[in-house]
Amino acid sequence: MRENGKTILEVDGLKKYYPIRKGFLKRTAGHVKAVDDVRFAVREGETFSLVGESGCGKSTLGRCLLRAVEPTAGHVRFTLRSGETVDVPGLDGDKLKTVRREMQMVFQDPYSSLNPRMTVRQIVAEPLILSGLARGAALEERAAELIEMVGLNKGHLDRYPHAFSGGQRQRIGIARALATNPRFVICDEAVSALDVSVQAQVINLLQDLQRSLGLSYLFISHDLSVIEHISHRIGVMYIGKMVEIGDAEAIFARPLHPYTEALLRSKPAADPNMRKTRFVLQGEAANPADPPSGCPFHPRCPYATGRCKTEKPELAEAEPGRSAACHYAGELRLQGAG
Amino acid sequence: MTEDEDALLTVRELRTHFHLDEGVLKAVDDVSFTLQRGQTLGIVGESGCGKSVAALTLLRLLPAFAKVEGDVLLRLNKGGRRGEVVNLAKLNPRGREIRGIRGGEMAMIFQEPMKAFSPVHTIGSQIIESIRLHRTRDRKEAREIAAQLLHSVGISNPGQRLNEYPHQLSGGMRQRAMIALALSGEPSVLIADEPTTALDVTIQAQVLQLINDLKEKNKMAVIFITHDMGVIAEMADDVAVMYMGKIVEYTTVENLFHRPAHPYTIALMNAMPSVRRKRERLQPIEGAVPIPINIKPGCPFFSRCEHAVKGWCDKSDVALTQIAPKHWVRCVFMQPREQGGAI
Repeated sequence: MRENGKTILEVDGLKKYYPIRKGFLKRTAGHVKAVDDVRFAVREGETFSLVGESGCGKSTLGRCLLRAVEPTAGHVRFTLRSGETVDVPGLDGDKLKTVRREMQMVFQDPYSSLNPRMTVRQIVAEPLILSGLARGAALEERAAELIEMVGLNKGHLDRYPHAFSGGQRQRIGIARALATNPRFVICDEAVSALDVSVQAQVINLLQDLQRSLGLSYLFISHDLSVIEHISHRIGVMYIGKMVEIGDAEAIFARPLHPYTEALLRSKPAADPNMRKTRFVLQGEAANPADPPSGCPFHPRCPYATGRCKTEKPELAEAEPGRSAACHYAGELRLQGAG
Repeated sequence: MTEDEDALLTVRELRTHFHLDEGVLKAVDDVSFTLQRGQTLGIVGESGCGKSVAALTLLRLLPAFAKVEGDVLLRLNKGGRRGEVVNLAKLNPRGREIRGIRGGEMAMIFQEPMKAFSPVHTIGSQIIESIRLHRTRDRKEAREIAAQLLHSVGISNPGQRLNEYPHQLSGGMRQRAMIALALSGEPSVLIADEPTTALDVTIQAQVLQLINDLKEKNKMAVIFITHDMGVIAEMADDVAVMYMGKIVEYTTVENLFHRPAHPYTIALMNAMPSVRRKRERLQPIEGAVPIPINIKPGCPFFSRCEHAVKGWCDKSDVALTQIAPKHWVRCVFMQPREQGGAI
């Protein structure tokens, strides 16, 4: 299913600024640039992953796409099943409803993202009722179909979320996201809260569903092992900016941005013979309310020069199919994972 | 398991059971290990396997209705009783003796420093309190030691940080302050319960390196509890894999990664994206961890094990059996016939 070349989602110049208010009059004293001028595209049938540390804006970016959070500026061009391409930020009414039908989300915490007072049947059926896609017997049939699709059974429909384990709840969350038959699913840390043995079940389920339904995923995670396993392409974020985009295998083998290298090499290798080959990045991520001048990564970057302190690097193509926001992309000899 | 004369900490057949209305919850059931000075024991397992309760049991930090059996033999390193061995499992959990050991001989780093620190006291007052309890009565000297500790865990400007409250520090800083607090009593055993789980990967690398450096410098023994096999590979010398309150495999880190023997350990490795070869399909363990209330005798992994044989594995409790030097496994198929096993 992967990469028939068509683009399903194109993000351009997307920004989300939160004002910092100060004083008695709550004057705007500045902005937290949670998402700052981000550009990337997702192809049909692929898994595009956003990776970065907490506070880098990856979740805010995901929410901006379906306007769970209203973006400050920018374009999100989404191609509907009908073939029509719409720009999500300017939409309202029926068109926005259609977009949200075809673009769905799976959340991180399977404990707080399901209403404890609703049965599984109500949870899974709600999107269908809201979008007017099914009613009566058809609704019942679709709910049963969905719950079986995620590896549970019809008997589970009348129970409440508390009766399920974390992994099963996440399956219910996935069934809810798939109810309206979307083409694009945003998985925001969808497997992060699960234990490894159960995490593997859910990862396999997501991959199977991608194949059988032809889904495209935007997969948001801080877990590099999961990202490496599931992604076709990756975008690396650092305090609101996209610093590197490229093919997953290529990035893991040979990163182009020093921050990507730092991330990959901080990850403990699951092999006791690989000890001591890690390198430890000093300092902490900068405050997005007060980002450093020039390249936002320069205070922590072991390769930083005078130019990095003053001149902001733009995300530019460094090699075919790969881009990085670094003045020295391609010149530095960076190491990948393992 | 072998008796060791020089062991710093010897835990023998430790059991922590909770008698609940629903039945008996065996959170820790027959756990034994030994720990030497300068050694790191990794305890790995999924949530609910009893690894945190085991740590809390060592320090006797559990509620009064927890029933603790077995031996926790700690060799004291400080004061007039240096060299003496105390059985922590037999001490009064609210007594004077255990309170001297907690934070003094044996200290703990918790997963969430925001919950472990008091939000209404400054970092400094909490660290100084511990120093004055275990090291010196002098306020001024205690403050100097506290500043030194913060400096040694990599916190810049320690004099000012002492006056700050936990919420004023970032997550990584808080975890460093937590480590400084744990080290304030100069413990010989440091228990770290998922100390990096809440941290970002670059900060995790910093904290892991810090714990290793301090272990070398202070000649401590470390018990490192985690669910992350990558962190185990990085930190541990010996590893105990726990499942439903029991150690199912206990061996060196090399054996664990290169010659795992228990079906659960092998299954856990195969389910991990970090261990599996890239892009290969993961092999999940079917089902979920059962709730350990009123469990039947037999192998705890019986219900999920692909090699399980009815009549063998669910018959009676399986003993931890030595299969090679420094390698113990709790599986019927690794156990000789005369001990009730299958080979």
